[in-house]
Amino acid sequence: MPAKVKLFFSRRQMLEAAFWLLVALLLYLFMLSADSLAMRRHLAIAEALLSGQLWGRQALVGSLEYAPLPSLLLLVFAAPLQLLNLSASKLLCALAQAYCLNRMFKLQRLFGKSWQTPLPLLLIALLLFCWKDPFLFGTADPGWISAAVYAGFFYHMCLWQHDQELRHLVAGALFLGLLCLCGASAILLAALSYVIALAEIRKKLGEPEKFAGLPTVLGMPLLYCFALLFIWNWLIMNDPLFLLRDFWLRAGSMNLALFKQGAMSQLLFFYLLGLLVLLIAAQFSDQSMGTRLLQAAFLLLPLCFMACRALQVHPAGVATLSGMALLLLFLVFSYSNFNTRISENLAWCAALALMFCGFCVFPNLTKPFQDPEPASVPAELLCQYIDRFWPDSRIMLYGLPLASTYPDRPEKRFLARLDFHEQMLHEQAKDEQMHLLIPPNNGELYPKKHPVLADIHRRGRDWLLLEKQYPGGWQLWRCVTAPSGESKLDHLR
Amino acid sequence: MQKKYKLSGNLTGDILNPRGFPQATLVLCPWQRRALLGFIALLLLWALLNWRQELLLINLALTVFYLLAMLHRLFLIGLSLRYSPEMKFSAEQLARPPNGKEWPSYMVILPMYKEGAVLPELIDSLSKLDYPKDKLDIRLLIEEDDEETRSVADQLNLKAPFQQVIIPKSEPRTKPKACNIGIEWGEADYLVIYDAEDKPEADQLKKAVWAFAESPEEVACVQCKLSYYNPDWNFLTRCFMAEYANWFGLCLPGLDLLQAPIPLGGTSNHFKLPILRQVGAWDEYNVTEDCDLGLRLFVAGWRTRIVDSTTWEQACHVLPYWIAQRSRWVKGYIQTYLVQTRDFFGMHRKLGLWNSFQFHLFVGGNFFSQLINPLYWILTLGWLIFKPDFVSQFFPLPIFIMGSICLFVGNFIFAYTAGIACVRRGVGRLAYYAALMPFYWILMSFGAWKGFLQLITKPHHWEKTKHFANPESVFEHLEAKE
Repeated sequence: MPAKVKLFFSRRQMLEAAFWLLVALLLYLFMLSADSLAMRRHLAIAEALLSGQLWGRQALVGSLEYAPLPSLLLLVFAAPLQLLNLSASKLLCALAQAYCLNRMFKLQRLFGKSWQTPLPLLLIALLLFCWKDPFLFGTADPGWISAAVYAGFFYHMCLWQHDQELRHLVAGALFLGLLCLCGASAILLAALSYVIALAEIRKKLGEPEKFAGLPTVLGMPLLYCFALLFIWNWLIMNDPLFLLRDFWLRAGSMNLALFKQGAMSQLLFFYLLGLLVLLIAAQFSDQSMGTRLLQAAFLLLPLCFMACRALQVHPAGVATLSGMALLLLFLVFSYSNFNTRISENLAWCAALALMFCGFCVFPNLTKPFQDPEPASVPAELLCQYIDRFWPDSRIMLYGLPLASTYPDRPEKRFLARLDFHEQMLHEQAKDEQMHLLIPPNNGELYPKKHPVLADIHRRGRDWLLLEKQYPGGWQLWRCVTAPSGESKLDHLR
Repeated sequence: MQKKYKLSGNLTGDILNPRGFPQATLVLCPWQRRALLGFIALLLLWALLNWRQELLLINLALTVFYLLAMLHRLFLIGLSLRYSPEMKFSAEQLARPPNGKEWPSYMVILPMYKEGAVLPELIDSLSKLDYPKDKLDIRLLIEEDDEETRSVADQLNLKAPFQQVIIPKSEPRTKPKACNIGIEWGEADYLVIYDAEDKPEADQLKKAVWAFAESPEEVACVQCKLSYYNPDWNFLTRCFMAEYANWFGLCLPGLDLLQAPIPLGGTSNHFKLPILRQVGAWDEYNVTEDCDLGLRLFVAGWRTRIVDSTTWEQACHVLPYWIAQRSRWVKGYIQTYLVQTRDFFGMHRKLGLWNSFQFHLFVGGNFFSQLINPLYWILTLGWLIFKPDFVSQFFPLPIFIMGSICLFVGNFIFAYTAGIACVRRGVGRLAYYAALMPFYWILMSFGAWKGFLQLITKPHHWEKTKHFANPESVFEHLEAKE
């Protein structure tokens, strides 16, 4: 009779968990810089959710740029950590980073040689200090959650290649599903990884009978989480495709000139070289699953990044996923066994070239993946102006970036939504005095061809009065629909 | 003269414990009846005083229950995926008896009623059992008034180790009563029970003998896995297969790992015969006597193990029969739950805190969730379509979060694990039916409600599962019935 399964961890497991928690704590303490812009926006969403604001619920599901998983995790962490006076964003990132490290060390321990154990640390030091941290290792960025999810997926798929245990496939599938909740780039990466993983599984198993059902097991969480995004949009936004509309509108005004920039072509070259290394390793080494999965990342992530830049949207998770993929590349490479001496030499040469390239490319770029901070009108300035004539008026804001720029838990001065319904705003303006803040039409805070916001910015509306224009093209409009029975013009209507 | 064991009739004169242990003679014992009436009265009174608060608290309790059931199921499945606890034996091991001398004697019982159509196939599959014939005693338990099966059995001209045992007509007319009468006499080391349509793997008895030999003394029962040989007949059989694969391939092995009470499956239970008799064998009043026996063995200090050997059964593919079968299972689970909790504190003392928790979730939760699921489906559907404002007052943030987890994560897990189980069971081609399991759950709830209502009206009625020799005979049968 097998020993009864222990419900609690063994002593060794407890010690291991304690060690990794300590690592997370150290990462938390030494997180080099402040929260990234994306993290601040996710924090604002979590806070809005906690205070029951409508825009928080809308932002949780209605944006592919700011995916639901980081916001949900911040929501879980935020309340208890507030009591302890700890930063939820930093702790979440530290835990995600510790998890990534843990997966890397486990892979190294399983497949590599003992003298290679410090390799992950050396690689991170290289990226952090020699390459000037291009992948936001020292920043609290929500992308770390995507990176941790991807690391989990990658780890389990490598393990599956090792022993073909169904549980690894199930765990990998669950991580793949979670990746779907990490933003547009992560969704594409998950979809491509699914196809590649299936092809590898089929090749490894050989017999069709053994393969039967595995596409379902691997794909069901992915499809379900993808479907969830639309279901949630239907439930909260009353439009299942709401999260795609922003992207769709932006596609019409893509800034293709961006592709010609030197920095972009350098980045692209770097990733193409990485792809070459992976192609050699996949063809001639025993780690075909890992290397082929990384090919998907190396092919897709730079393209996603460039597309996001061209569309002027936040490339959610691309920076950290790229960094993670690069670390995994060197890691897998270190423990791969090559078929022939020639292929091994070739692969090593390519890997060294890639590392050298990194020295050339990244130190010259200042935070290539980081979003530029958009200019905005300070909230105090807006309130001061309105208070002079309309002390009871509230400012209506549309769009997630704007809502998170002007956080207002009691919603006394700012009221935010993600969707614009002209009639609804009209009705509200009848009940109370409202202002409307419209950012410049430069594609940063809403699509250049947004049918409503761009149009208001350009032509206004009959019921809107442009009260003030701020530098940079920011407009403050006042709704002039007087509450019913209070307008001096009522008798003329 | 062979020794005769008394395993039927009322021996004590106690209506609740006719053979010295609690049996399902009555649905509720006196205190349970009083408690139920008191609970209903309390609900009514509370509704009069503050029905909103009452609904809120009921909703909270049900949501917590769903969440716990989901986590428990997830835990069991995670364990069985990680550790693969079934006992496995190699061909070399099975080539010789575990003691090195001779194989122990085995009694095989086959309760049947109106199974003439499948009897030849059954005899054929049992003749293929890889076990010394002189150590076998195969008993066909045929009801006195079952002319159909008797005539087929007579025509087959059965020889040893097969023998017919005629079960005299008496109440209650249930399978466990027939089993108890069937084992009242005769000696054997081990016993196994099969259904009329079963096709056990040829080496199953040897595997069971090895499993007993390699287990500690306290292991009194070995449960083999059940699976279906006709999963591709229609939607129902496909989903049924996925459900069985999940139950026997993931859930029960998880319970086995935790050494928790295991509700036995209806057939392919191998017992140490003396111990089976010692605990009183099956409860003839319980319509899921197998589940009850598994729990009774556990309470008496005996353990059950799961062995990696499969008995192939016929999945019921006709909806009315399927619903009838399901209703019997749910009715039996409720009976078992009520019987086991008659000595409420005693049961918890004997099982311990953790096993009691698992018993409530796995046995109680099993039928309870099937009964209340329709309520929540209707509520969810109504909320999605009409979005009524009043619903939100019963879902404050903590309940809303738990409810959302159950809705979006729980339902997915229950469906997804069916797909995993199919792959693990070797029927991966059915894995995508996991996505259709919610429709199957609706049917399960139909059956559950039928069973629940029948518990009130006909508590001991045995909904017989009809078996067919081949798919065509189903239609012949239905035509004949019309």
